[in-house]
Amino acid sequence: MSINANEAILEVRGVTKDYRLGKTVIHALRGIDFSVEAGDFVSIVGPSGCGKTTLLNIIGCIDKPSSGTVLLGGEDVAAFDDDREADARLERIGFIFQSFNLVAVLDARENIEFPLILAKVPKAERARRVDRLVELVGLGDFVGHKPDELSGGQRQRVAIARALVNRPSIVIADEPTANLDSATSTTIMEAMKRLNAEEKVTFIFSTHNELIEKYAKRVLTIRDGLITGERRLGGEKA
Amino acid sequence: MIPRLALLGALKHYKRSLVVIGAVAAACVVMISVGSLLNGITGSFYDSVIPNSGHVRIDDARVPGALNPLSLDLLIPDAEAKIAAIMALGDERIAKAEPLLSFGALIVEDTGADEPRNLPMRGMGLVPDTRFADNARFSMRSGEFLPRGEGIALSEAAARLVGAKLGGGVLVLVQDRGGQPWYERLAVTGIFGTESKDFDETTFYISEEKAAQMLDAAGSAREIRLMLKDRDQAEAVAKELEPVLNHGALGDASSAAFRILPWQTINASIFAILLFVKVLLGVIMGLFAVVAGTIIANTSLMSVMERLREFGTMRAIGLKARQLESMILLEGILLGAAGAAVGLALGSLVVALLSRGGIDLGGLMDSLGLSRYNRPRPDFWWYAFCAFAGLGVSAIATARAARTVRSMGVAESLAASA
Repeated sequence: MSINANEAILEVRGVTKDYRLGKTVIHALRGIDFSVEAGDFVSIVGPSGCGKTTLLNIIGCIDKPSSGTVLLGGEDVAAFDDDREADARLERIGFIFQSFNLVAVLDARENIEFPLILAKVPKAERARRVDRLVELVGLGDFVGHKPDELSGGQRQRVAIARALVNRPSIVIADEPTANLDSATSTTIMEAMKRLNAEEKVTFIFSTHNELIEKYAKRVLTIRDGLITGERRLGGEKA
Repeated sequence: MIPRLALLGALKHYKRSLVVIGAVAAACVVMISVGSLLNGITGSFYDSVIPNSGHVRIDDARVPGALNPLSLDLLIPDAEAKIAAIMALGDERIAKAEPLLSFGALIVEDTGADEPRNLPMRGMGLVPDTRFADNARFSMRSGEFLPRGEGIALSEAAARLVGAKLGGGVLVLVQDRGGQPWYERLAVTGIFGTESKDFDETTFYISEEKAAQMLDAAGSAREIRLMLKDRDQAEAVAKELEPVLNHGALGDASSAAFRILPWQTINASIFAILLFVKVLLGVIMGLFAVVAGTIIANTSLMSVMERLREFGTMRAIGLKARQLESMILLEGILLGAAGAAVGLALGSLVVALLSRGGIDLGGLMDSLGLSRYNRPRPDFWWYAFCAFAGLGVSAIATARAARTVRSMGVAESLAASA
């Protein structure tokens, strides 16, 4: 999907999310509004339990809001059935998880290639795209290794490559550096930053690490299910 | 990719896979063994009982109500003429018709002992080239079966009880048609041994000519047995012979009407018992299938629950719910196929081992006139059915796990093991 810069590729309007625990209702999100433009690099920050993951799941078509609207490329995702939601996750959204979430039985290269196979991309094109991403994220000789043979940083590079391989309009990263040491975290964030700058990939990532949030161009602060602040940064590490 | 993921998933979680394969294999082994056993019993029935009773039997209509079914008042007069008339009908379905003269007799030891042993038995008078009495004719232990119609054929058990040996003799005591006692010393020309103890201890064979002579019943027969080219035609042939024998040219106003019985009616009680045995064994097989299905269902469910995050991840990157369901189902089918293959191999081995010596089913089979040693018989279609059933049980049991995972949301799957 080709989207011009400064065009809102994601709009979140009045999104709420409630969870029921027996008779107790937990209001995880209580009316979230924001939009994301193509080529943006947005950080969502806030303490644990503030609703970051819930929000990312909703905008990533992994979960549904209790109320409100999420417009992805101008389309209301609430109208999507299961198959269209899966197609949106496959073609328009890339997801990077805190715990890497690689498919254990596939090697690094196959993990990266998996979304392309689901999207029925021809074999030669798959090989070309995977080779390019392997080079881009610096996986080098580790492409034949299974996830349990890779370090945390290498696994997250595989996850980033997998998220990018179908050329999504948005890549969502849920605390991508939470399970990594600071040196590896810096490497991963630098890689994401480079992809944003060079490939114009739109990133939305959550973190509660102040050092990491400073990689973003925009920082949205969430507290108790509400956006309590928004800052624009230069996009350079302070 | 989906078939490969299914295969890799099965290999990765090999312990649970082995449980599923084992459950399917065990169910297949039980089904194959029990089914082959049942096939052996049924086959034994067709092999033994039908050649003994004939496909169609004609006897006196008063037999069912008679106090003594072996009474000489219940013989068919002019049996040879009736057989000739039946054959003259030109019915191509009838391969052979024979008279048979059965009677009660006492076999007495003829060794010069002071107190000779005796044994009440049922004598069977047969034509020398009989097509019936297969179980004795084809299980001769020594001598021949009524060579040229001479002598008496006794079982090993009966010979032992009256001290008879091949080449020796026994006294056969009967009461003739006039009520007079008659005895004759007959040379033991053949000793047989079937696998039915009851049958062996109660039955001996002499020629039909000798029996008629001893009973003073020349030309008469206890029954006429028909052998058909196709046993499935028995009911139709019996139905068509009924008016011919009872009301047509062969009808004899001076004698009682005849019963014309197809083998299905003759062996109705055995059919009932076979049906009971089939139902019983079917229930056993069904229980095994249910147990195997339950084991597979629970194992599959545990297996997929352990992999929820992986499945959630796959869905988060674009795998559709139905593709995930197909993948889990395919994994179950692959494991079912592996289990069925193992089950087929083990089941065949078990059947081969059991077929060597046979299984002693004891008195029940004896009382049916069947061999007490049942030899399971392999049947290709039953094996194929068992394999497909094993596969089906595995697929159905896995479907529950697949549906459970499909019904879960992506976020729920991702959070399950987080």
